[in-house]
Amino acid sequence: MADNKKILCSQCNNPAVFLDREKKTHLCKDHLIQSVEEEVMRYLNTISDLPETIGIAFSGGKDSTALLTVFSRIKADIPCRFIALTVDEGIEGYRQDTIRAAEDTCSKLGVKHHIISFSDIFGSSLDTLVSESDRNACTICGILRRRALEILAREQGIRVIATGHNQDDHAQTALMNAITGDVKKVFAGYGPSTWYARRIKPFARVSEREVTLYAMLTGFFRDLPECPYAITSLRGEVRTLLYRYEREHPGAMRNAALCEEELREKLGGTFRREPYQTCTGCGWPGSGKICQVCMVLRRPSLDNDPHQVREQTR
Amino acid sequence: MILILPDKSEITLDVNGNSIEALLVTRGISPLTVLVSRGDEIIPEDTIPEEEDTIRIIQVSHGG
Repeated sequence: MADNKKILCSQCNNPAVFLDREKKTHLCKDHLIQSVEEEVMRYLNTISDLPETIGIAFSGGKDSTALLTVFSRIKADIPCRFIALTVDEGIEGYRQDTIRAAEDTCSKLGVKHHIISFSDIFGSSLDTLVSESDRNACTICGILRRRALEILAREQGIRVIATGHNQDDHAQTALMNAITGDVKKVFAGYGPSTWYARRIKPFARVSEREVTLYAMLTGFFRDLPECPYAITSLRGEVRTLLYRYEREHPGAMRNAALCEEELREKLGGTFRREPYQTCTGCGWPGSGKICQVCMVLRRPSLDNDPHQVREQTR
Repeated sequence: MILILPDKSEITLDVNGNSIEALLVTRGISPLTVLVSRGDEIIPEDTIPEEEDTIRIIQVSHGG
């Protein structure tokens, strides 16, 4: 495989930019771009009932930037319109840069862009909430960001949201679910919901390196700082483990991601879920009398909640 | 060969016929966490560089 001459694309004679370790082939710039766009097209063609307009969860980071770029480049071929939805969690030294990048990218791509912030709807930034909590930062962020995205989607009449989660993310999640023994999470979000917007993940079978390379090759990569909370998470540990394993066993991450996906599809219909309950803090459906958002924000009941009206009627 | 790390620091390495991937591993860098460029060109990590090459490592960050 190693060669001291310039390595060429396995599909043409142009210089290679990417090694597919599983297939043991190389791709040039054009074929890498084509490969990623074809995979997104393939994924979208498996989705039934796409609405007229979908939302793209757009953080301004490389994954969502690449996703927005793919959609922009293939928009003539996809069966829906799209807008960009951004959540500003309020992370000092990180989010300001990515929000600016997000605005700039949407402007260059000519995509309608809508932003919502934690401060606007929850009254506090993530930094403040983390400092006041003993919960893991990523846990707090994940819970509140999902709610913020739902609120923004509702405001814009969006019922389907595309996220930039890539194959590596899915493999990490699958392993995290196994390590924590959280079977419920495997089937979380499975099945239709009349309340929550449906999530689709067009990069589910695209590796993080391919996504990054796509963003670079199409001119939309920015070397932005990593989220300062990422290194403290279980996901960071799992990521390191998986990369070590993937190097020795190419395809391991793809298999881990596909395995959980297959379990979800084959068993999702028979997995017994607790029915949603209406949260007494905010009125949203959740898994208990107090939903995760209210638990994070420590909202005991509707009557005592100063944010409830703002959140629901914003 | 000059290796420019993600933090912009530079180290000099002898290639000795090794691929970039092998050289990264000796520095404790997983080749799956980075992309590699030579000049303005992205190159695959199984490239064997020349001793006079300058190779830049680009971190594939998370959180995007």
